[in-house]
Amino acid sequence: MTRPASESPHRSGAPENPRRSGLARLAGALNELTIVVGLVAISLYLAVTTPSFLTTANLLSILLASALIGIVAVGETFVIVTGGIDLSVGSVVAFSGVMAGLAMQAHLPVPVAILIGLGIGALSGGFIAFAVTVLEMSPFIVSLAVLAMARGLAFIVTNGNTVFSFPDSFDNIGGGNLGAFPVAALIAAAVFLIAGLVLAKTVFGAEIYAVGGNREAARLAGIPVGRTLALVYVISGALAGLGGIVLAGRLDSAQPIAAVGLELNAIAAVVIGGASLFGGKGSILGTLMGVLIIGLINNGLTLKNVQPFWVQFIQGAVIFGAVLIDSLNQKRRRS
Amino acid sequence: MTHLLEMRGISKSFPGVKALSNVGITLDRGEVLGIVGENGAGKSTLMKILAGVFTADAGALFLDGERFAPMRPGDSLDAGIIVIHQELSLVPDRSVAENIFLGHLPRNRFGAVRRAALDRAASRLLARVGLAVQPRTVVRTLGIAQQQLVEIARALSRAARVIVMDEPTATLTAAEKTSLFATIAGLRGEGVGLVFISHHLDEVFALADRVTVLRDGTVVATRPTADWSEAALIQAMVNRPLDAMFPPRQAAPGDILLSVENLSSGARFEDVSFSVRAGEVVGLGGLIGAGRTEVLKTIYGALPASAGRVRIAGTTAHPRTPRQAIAAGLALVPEDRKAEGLVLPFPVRSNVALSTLSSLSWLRMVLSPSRIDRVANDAVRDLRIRTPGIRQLVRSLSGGNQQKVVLARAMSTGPRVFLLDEPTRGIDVGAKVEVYRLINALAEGGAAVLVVSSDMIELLGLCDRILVMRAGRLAGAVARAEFSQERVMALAALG
Repeated sequence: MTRPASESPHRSGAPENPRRSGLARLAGALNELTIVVGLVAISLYLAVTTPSFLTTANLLSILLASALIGIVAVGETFVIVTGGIDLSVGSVVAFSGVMAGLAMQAHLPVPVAILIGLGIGALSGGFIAFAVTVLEMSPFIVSLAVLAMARGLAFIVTNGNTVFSFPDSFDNIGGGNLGAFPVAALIAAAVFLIAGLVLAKTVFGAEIYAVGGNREAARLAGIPVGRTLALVYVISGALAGLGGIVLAGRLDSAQPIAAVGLELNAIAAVVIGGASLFGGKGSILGTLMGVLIIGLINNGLTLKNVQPFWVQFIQGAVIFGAVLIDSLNQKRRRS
Repeated sequence: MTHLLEMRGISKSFPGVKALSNVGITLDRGEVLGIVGENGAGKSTLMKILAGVFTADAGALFLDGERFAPMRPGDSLDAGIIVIHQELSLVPDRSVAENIFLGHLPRNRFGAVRRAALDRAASRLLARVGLAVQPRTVVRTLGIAQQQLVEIARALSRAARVIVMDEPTATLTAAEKTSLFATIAGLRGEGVGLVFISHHLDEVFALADRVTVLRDGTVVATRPTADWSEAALIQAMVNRPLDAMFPPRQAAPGDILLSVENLSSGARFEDVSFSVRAGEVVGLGGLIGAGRTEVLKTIYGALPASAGRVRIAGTTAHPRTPRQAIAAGLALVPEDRKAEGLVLPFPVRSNVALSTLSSLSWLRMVLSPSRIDRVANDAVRDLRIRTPGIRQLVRSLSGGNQQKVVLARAMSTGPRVFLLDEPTRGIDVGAKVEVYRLINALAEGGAAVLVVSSDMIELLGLCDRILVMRAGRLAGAVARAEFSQERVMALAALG
């Protein structure tokens, strides 16, 4: 018969305080439907104002450009739903790419080179997983360290040089077409489909949500929290490795400086897609829409000849807006 | 004459429940009003309306006869209404003085804190509340009672007219209580009005001038303290005789299912040995902080054992993780259901299925929504969880129904040993009775049940045997035949 104060049973069900800011109410209204509306609105705007937008070539180029962000954003979605974050993905893309490239320069067969690229990504993720689960370090700091380490290693192994001229069979992965569609976009589509099913339909997916929703409750309920956390970072790393292969193939070269800042695009896509940086919330479908919105914005900025410096600023502002909405939603739920 | 404070015709509804219905209270200068009632009676909601945390759906507040409509906590604070919650809101690593003036520290022209002025002002307030510590003392080093007094000093720093104390004595020793009561008597002399909320009726009798009883969101009665007897107060609070709350125990103990041998866990507790038989309900009593929760969590593998072992009948397992414990036939209902028992943003069905995801799947991998729905629907029906449906978010359920969801999840793995930590904390009396019946049914079904509770009446009513812990050790055991509050308290406090 103690502590009634902390047990007011209807805290969250309380009607909204009339003085609550309009901003918070607006944020509450932003859900999956509004993402779709945003997507359609941006498309309509670009279609009406830019004649070159609605051409097959341009639309396919959006898909191609979105493929890389998309593949990486899928892994980031897994991580963010557990309440973690992986800042290392951009650097891991570069490191995996150059390692795959070096393997082919050493005349290793293309499948082996691909496995090396994926393996490097998975290893990087495994390193973060070890630090987060066994050493109980903060994923933010660990992945920030790996961001710098992987980038450094990419420069070290290449001596700062670009690795180039790969077999056609490798370049097709990133740059080729299958029928009308870019192979890279088809790979991304497959990744989205599989990941969507895993997150929504499997025990592993349910465990990811539970760990992100309340880690302690999940642990006491018998969910293997450490294993779940470790797996999401390995998956994120491996998908960054896949991203490195796709990018290297598209450019027919692997640069140690590639994909700088890609993590921001990926995180932005995940958050725009409705995931919460506080964990427990998010979906692959949402991330897909987030990726397309980022792709459309980037494409629109190019078509409208916006200065490249502004592009960065605008991308940052979009991320800020997405995180602001998440934060306001969180506040609304708590009060 | 106008009252210092009047709350008139206050009503407040939350989705699905009427928390307060036409509640009225008055408070005069220098008066202490006691408010008592079961959990869920509406005491906290009423005080949150006074504090500006909630706004009332109907009714009005008057301060010194003037209409007062707090829209947010700042409005109430500015009006001199200070609510001291049971969970203290101090910043543990800052000084006493800084905590007292938190939010309105005296500053000089450059915005820097005027240390000397701060300490002088803090000293004066500390003297008023009778707390003999230095203003620069770090709050973390103080005892709970001293921290309570710092909270009261903070209230006084804001020129308090009304001070609400929500269960201020829940964790105090007798000596600490005496000094707190002396402070309260002093404040009353200064014309401050106090609202005193407590489950400890003896304290209410000692302090309050008048007592209001709330039940199910309505005022049952308000009378001068002298007109109440303890029995009348309890009768008014629960509206039923106490012994009717507990189902009859027909203990038929079977084999030993859980045996704990010389178990220790670092500095948390040491050398704890006992066993629980099938069909037995064993209580684990003692003061808060005696190590009861830690014992349960160590048995469950959620805290590391530093010595000793746990045996579970039929297995050789020594669980080191909750996952292994569940596999060995244990189930834990944790003390803090919101932080440890539930994933609040998830629906009822996901929470019920949380421990059995693999078995509710095809090939133990792909979730079977229909099986999860069936299990969740069964739980809602069997435990009478009041929810609009299994897709309702647990966040929006009442405390009692949330607790039933946790119980359903614990039962879902088919355990033979139940570890229940404060299973009825913060739930209303009706839900309590249902939980008691459920515990009884589990035992009659052949399970071994170990219950930690700070509610003495609950332990005495529910258990076949009570083990009492004191300062990290088992102080003794009391069998049902010799049950009495005095006996258990003596073991808990004196050994």
